[in-house]
Amino acid sequence: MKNIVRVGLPPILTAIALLVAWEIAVMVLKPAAYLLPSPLMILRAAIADSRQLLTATLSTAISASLGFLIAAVVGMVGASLLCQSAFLQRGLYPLASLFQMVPLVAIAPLLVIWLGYGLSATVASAAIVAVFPVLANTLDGLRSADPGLRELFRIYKANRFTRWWKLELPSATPNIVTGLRIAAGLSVIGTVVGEFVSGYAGENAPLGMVVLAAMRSARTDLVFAAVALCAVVGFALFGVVSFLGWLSLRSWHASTLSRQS
Amino acid sequence: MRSQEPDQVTSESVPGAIGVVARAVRHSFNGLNVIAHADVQVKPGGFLAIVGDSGGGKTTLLRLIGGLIEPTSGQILLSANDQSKQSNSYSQSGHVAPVATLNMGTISPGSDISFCFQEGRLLPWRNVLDNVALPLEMHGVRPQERRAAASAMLAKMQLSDSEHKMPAQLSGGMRMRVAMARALVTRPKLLLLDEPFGALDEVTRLALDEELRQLWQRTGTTTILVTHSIQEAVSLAKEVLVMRGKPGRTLPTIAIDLPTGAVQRNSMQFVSLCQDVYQQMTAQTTQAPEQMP
Repeated sequence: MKNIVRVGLPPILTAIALLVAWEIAVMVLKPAAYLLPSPLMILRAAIADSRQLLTATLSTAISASLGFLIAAVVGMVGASLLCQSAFLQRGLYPLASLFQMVPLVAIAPLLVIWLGYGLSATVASAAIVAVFPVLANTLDGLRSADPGLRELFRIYKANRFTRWWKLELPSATPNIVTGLRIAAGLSVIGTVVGEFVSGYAGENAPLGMVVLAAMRSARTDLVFAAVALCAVVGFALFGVVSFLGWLSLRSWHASTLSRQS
Repeated sequence: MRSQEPDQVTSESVPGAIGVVARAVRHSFNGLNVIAHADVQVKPGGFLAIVGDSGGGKTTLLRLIGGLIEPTSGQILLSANDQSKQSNSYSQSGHVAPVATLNMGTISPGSDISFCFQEGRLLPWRNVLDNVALPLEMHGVRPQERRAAASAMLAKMQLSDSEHKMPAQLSGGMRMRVAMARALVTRPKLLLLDEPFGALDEVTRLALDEELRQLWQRTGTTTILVTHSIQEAVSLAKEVLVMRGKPGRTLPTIAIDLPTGAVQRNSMQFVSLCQDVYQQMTAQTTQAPEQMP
């Protein structure tokens, strides 16, 4: 409990201070509401459109979570396969890096052409943007297993699968957790970009579409509310991944042990 | 001081222990000559300590004996005392070729031969019990059996209270005892120790030396210890082999004939033997012509 307060209190207090400063600045400077609404105006808009925002948040959260899960599985399996063969690694890794350089906004229309409007395209968009950090970090982790422990497994005549399962994968866990944390935030970004291009209007419109619709009708307060909810989805996903990472590392890895001591 | 020249492995001492004979072993790595000439003999159930200059090829010699690497030239023979094992030898070209098939089986690194390294090499994500059970797990022993065997070995090493601790929770000395327990859990016939206590403080090191000595007396496992410490070598081993120069060469073995039981490090005999080893390590090199490459 003491730890939660020690870790959680500073950012909460900072956020409250910034919101208060923002509210005061708007009260004093009185900018047009469509340029910069105050935090209280945004809160009022969020309450007024809570039903629409809740549905949109759920829709975006589902897309982001599915995209994240696909990225996690593809990234970890892909890295494990690449790690088994130097030829595969030399052949595919540069292409994966190159693919990462292509702007997602440019790919998104292709996803609509191939997968149509809606969930499939937004999930694919989230997965594409989130997969590379998982792949790269997992591959680094798998390759950086302690040479002394590798020799130990050679002495035991461990086969490739045993070496991967009992040595490389556990020792790559800290890197995998890092990759997944980065992917958690990116998957929300990927989802929203996908929604901008391939989202759908109506009752189940996701947050990306709410942002677009609110912008077109000069509802800046609603834009802010939707953007804040995007951040909440990303933060929630990041929190879940961080917690699972902490669970898997807490008893042995320096990053968690040093925090405990 | 009594010196012995390498000779044939004799079948005496503890049943099942492995004897080692290495003849005219040379090893190069990436064009760099690491060992110029090494002759080693350890009888089944014997205890040999290898001392010498840093970078003189002591660890390389140990890894060659354990089969982790192959010699550039020379011959290494491992023979089981119970005559139920196959001997392996390395030909001049370094390829492994069976030279004397006895009754059955093969000498297997990881079970018949165990290593213990200076860093301990414990898996940090496994608790003590699962670390000690690892070699048995690798050999397909069932979970219940391997846990029971690991638990029994930890009890022998007085580590029962630490079974469920993680390596990060252990002191350096305890980590080494866990590593030693893991090396012994397969009941190896040849134990290869590469400066296992080199990173520990003097008090812990002396305590673990005594544990190792008692362990060797109880089990009779053939043991080869690489160490920087002359005192450790003399107090533990029955024979000390000095490696000199770069690339390293072995000198004639020094027999250690101290009385059985706890070693009196201030006794005249102990001090004299340490001086013998020291003199061999520091004397001007006078190589026999037949040992020249």
